Amino acid sequence: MNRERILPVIGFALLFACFGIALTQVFKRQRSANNPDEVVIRIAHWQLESGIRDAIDTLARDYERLNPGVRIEQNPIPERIYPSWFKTQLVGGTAPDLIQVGKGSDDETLARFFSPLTEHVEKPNPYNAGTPLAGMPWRDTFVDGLASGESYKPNLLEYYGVPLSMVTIRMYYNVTEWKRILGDTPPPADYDAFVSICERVQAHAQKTGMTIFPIAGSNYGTPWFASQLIGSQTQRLAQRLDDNLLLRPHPTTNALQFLVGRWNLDEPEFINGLVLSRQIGRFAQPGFIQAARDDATFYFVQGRALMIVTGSWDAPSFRSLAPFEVGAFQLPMPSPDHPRFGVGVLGPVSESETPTGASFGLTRASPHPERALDFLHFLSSLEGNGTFSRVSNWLPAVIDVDLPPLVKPFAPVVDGYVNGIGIDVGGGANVSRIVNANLNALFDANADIGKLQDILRTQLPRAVRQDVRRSHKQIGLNTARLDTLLAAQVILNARKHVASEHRRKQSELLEAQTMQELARAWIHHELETLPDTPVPIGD
Amino acid sequence: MSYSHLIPCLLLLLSAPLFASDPAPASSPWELTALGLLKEAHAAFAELPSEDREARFGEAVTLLNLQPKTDANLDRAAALFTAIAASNATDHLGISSRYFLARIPQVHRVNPDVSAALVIFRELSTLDSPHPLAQRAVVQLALIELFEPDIPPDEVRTRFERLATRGASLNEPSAIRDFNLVMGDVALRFKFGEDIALDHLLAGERAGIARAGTRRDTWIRIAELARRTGRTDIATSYYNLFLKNFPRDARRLMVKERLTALTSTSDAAPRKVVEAAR
Repeated sequence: MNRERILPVIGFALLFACFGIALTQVFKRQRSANNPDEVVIRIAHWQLESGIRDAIDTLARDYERLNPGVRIEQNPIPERIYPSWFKTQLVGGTAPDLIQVGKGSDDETLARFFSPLTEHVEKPNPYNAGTPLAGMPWRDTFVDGLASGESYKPNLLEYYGVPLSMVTIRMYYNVTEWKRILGDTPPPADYDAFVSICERVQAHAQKTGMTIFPIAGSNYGTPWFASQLIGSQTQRLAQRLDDNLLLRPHPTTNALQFLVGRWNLDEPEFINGLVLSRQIGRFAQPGFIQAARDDATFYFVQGRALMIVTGSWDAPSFRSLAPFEVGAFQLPMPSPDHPRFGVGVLGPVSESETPTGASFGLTRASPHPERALDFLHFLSSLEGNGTFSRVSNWLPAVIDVDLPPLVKPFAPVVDGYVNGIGIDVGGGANVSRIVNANLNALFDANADIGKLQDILRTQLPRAVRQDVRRSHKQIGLNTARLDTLLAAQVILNARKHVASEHRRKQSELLEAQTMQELARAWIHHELETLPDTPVPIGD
Repeated sequence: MSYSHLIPCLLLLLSAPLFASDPAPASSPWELTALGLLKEAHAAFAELPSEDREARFGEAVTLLNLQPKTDANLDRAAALFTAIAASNATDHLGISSRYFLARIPQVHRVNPDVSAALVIFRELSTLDSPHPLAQRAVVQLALIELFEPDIPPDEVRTRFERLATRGASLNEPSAIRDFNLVMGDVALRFKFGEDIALDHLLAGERAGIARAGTRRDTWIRIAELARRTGRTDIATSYYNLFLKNFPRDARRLMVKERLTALTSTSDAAPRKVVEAAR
């Protein structure tokens, strides 16, 4: 047999072998599922970071010990293929009992394939019996009251997700190298101390010829740090622009105020924010703005940068990958008494509204929904979530969980102020595109703030206007969608035997629609008053 | 031997799960509609007898958002609503149909016709009906008439006062709440007076706010307006309500500072402290 004939045979043989293995796995699972003496609960997620699988595994074994005859199978799926895997499993009717929601889980998917948890979240979590959370509605045992993240779906008016964690952003540092370069210098308490540390690292690198930069920069972490710095500088500006007396800036309102000239990019607070951003850019490796998040991670883990800005989700991975001890501290911001950069600052930024994440939903196709729900109760009990946090070193989502020592630096700052206005005026896609395309004018070696301001002055107004129009259109689509849901609740509410639940839903829908239409009416009114910007009311 | 004929068989075997049935939850057409599963709901309504008014209403409301959204669907929905209202314009389904008939030109058409919607909302607003959608027509009138662009400020004020009189007779809690939240917002944005804005927001809040997000923002606005207008007891009360009910709001520290200033110093001092904070 010649080579040309044998290669396809080998190929098909391999294909059949794989197919055979897959079939065996399916039949094994089927046999296991048909075992009347054993209940199998499958749980799937995309959190492949080290620690998470161990934490869920630990909790699974604990649960199995408590419930003989139950087996928990964990199914970690790579993040990149998760959305398509998620849809395929749901549509194919082979979805696990519990699935992490958030990627690919739009409202229709949730409504069609997931069981609402609303009636359950109003009742106590039985696994909290005998703890300070005993008797408390399950919903209220979470730090956000299930109001953020993937838990509550306002259009569907139901709870669909139960979270296990939340994330904050911190400055990580290489403790070993820190001690070698900086001795006993503690982590910086304010921005000036941070700048001093960065300058000492630069001086050390220059003196010793060592390749080490103060910060591992990337087009992910550094712009985020810069936006926080600009936000700190504009805290008072945002309060001055608070026409609606909400004590917090609102992106679309600020965008409209920008368009009508209530504020501009020449505000001293805004310029100060750009100056600070340029400064931190100079502490990162050259050309960092072209570097992706993973590139910066390599710089840090390989010891070529002393610090890196990223989320608490990376802590366990850093601790397992880096050949050195890793520490973390809050992003340093200028304080209100700073002689130059304190003028626009109110104080540290509050992180108390940090949303929860790693949320799991219960699929309708679950063969054992009561058992799956019970496992979800177990995972998110005071003790269960404490175990999760201790093993994974991720922040817990449940209140009163004692933070393990490695997690403490990531605890959200609660006593703080609302952040100000960022460079991404209004937060829309067009503005973000322009800002991102011109970040080099802020961060490269010849960074010139005046040049960046010129670019933004020329390009931003049009982009802001487009974004506000898009927002106007999007609100219109949302509010129109609510009409059908509202009609359903009006009819169901009229049926007396199920009225109270539908009365609540009808009331929520009406209120949600009112608030959306109020915002839309104001945007339309303001856009119409701008010169040369006719906007059809349905745009 | 050719292996190519095996490939489609393999693909068919491997993709079998994709052809599994859609496990849409088994529910009534209205429950399917409430879940946003409009395709299934619409099909279920269409199968019900043609003389069933509620089913025709269901068919019409699902057509409003059935994808792809087409003019033909909206025309058919309008025809169904018109027929339902023609048989009885003032019963539950009649009023609901008229309301959604107005919503078609207001928000569903690509080219809206707000004046057509206004005609229907005005008719509904004159009904002496406790129906939530009849009373909601007054909220829609406020949203349309007060935010109409390019009308002189005096005219906006005249409309505002006329609507305030009309709104005083609302008695359905959602309508009272939404109407007053809109009026309070308008009073603030168009600078009709902070006292007026405060009174409307208080009326809206007392009618019962359903969503936590609206509640916390409204409490903050009420407290801020009350502080600025010297109604310290109201300000203190709402700042405290906010602190008690929203332990994880980023504005807590600012609220605590305002509360401390209100409760520990003279009337003049809080203003000074707050201005300094700004």
